Amino acid sequence: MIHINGLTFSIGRFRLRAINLDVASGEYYALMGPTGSGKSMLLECLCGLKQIEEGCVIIDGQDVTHIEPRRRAVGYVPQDYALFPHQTVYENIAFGLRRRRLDRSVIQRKVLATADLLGIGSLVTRGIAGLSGGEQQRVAIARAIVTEPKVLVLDEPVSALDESMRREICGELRRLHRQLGIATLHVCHNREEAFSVADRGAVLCDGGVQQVGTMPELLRQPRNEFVARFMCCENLYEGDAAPGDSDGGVLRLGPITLTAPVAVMGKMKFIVRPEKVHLARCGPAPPQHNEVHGTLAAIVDCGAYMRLEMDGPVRLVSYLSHAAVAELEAHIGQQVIAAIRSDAVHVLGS
Amino acid sequence: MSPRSRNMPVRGWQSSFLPVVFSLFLAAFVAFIVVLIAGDALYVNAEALRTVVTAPYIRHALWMSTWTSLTTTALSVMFAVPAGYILSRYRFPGRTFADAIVDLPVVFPPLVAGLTLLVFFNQTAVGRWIESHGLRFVFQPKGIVLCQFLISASYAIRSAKSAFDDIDRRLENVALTLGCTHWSAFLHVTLPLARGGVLAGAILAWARAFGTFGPLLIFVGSFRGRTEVLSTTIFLEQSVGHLEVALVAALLLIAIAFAALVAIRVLGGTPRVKL
Repeated sequence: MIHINGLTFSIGRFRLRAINLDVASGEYYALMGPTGSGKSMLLECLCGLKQIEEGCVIIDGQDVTHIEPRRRAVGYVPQDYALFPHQTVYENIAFGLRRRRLDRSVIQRKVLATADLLGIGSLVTRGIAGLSGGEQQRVAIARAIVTEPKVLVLDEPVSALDESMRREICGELRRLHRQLGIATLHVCHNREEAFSVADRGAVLCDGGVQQVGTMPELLRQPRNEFVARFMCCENLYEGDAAPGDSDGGVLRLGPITLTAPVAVMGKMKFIVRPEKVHLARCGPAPPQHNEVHGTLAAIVDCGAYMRLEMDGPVRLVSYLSHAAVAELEAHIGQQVIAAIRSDAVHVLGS
Repeated sequence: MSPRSRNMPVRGWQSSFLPVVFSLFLAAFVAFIVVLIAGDALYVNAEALRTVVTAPYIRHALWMSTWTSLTTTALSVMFAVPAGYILSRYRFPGRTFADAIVDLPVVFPPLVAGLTLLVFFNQTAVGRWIESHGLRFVFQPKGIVLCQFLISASYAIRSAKSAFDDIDRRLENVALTLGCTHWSAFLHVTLPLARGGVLAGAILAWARAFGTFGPLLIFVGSFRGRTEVLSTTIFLEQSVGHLEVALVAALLLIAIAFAALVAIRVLGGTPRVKL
């Protein structure tokens, strides 16, 4: 549905560098990256609000690179929603339909149907000033989708909301997406937010795409250190890599040797997925597992799981279920053995 | 304790002096102006008041002041909206100079403005060509409007620019994605939101035009019943020794201007006018 090929755009010293992205029809796509990475600028280029220097933007098979924003069929929800403060909720939602000179009764029917879909049917006569953040967000989405665009782009749509409202709105966005089946591009800098809505995503840094993939791929197989850090990978190390006995390789990290599923050479960075680190009171570790001895330094209840930090030859974080921690009878200062499967080790690129 | 007081930070006894001391300066200035006007009011008498109310030439001057200042205001707004928008939204070569030149008439000594217009229309080829092709300004009622426009349009442009500056550009961007051209985004989003600032600029421009005196005297003179406006009436009356009549006319002018300035502030409490 959306095909961005070699998009280059610069403003001042900042530059979007040869961006390539493909969003399939009906896909919910997350565009992630830290503040200043160029996410919003990329969205504005997609909407036609910035004139790109090189590359092309294709929407639904049509090259829209040089087509003005109003003819691109893109529904745009900017940061902080940019609702028209001089208009009521109804007038805001009807704005795009009125520009299309539709019949008044058609406009009314569409506006009320969209308002009901977003759960703001009772607010249509209200002004914008008195609305809560969540209500404003719903009005902005209603305004963007009422014209039935081919693509919906959301620029940090929930960043201004509190945590519970954020979860609620993300759930609604997902429901809305299933209902409408519209290709959606959602900009965010929050991993949890992206995971709660998107099928696939891309991580941007300093105007360039670092990695594209499904959400589990981005989390478990980050391509490089930046993506690993952005995805909050906890056990990030640098060690000496060498080919192993069989297909895999070995990674030497001080006194520890870990087997890895790929054979690489030289200084390499790698991560160990915390959810795949199993802790036990005594050994030995099961076959095909790496074994690391250490002492529990911290135990934190994260709600859905427990986070245990082990000090030893290396600092190692493990995510365990509450049941596993109870069975372990974990307490700070306890001697434990960490069993790490070789597929828990993921070697990063440069 | 009033709700407004409750909204203030907790203060120690030393901090209470700050608003008291600062208020003294405000009170002194306000009192200075009020005393001056009161002095004028005390000087006038019933006969002077009757003259101002009944004299046809003063009624004519008031009418001239009214229509010329309103015409000037309309012209100022006509220029202020596009000029203010361009200065606010676009970066172009010479923008800084254009921005400074827009403000220049504000700092013109009044006599210089009149002299400049007079020299332009009397001494330059372009000015003479305009005068000779039916657009006569020098010593003509039309010249009053031109003079007032030169003096007051800057206020309207500055106010409109500030209003456009305050409007988030993303509102226009959203309008563009919703089917607007740049023109319709301007008409349906930007202009309605800038309405308050544009209106405030119009009121300022009108007040400035209504009170203009110096440049008028040089550029259009003060021909009774023809180019005389209320401000020049004051000058003429005091120059022939009718000080009381001049003061009543002055008080009339002050009262009208004061009503306009109060109106700005009253409307300023609503989203309609920004000043």
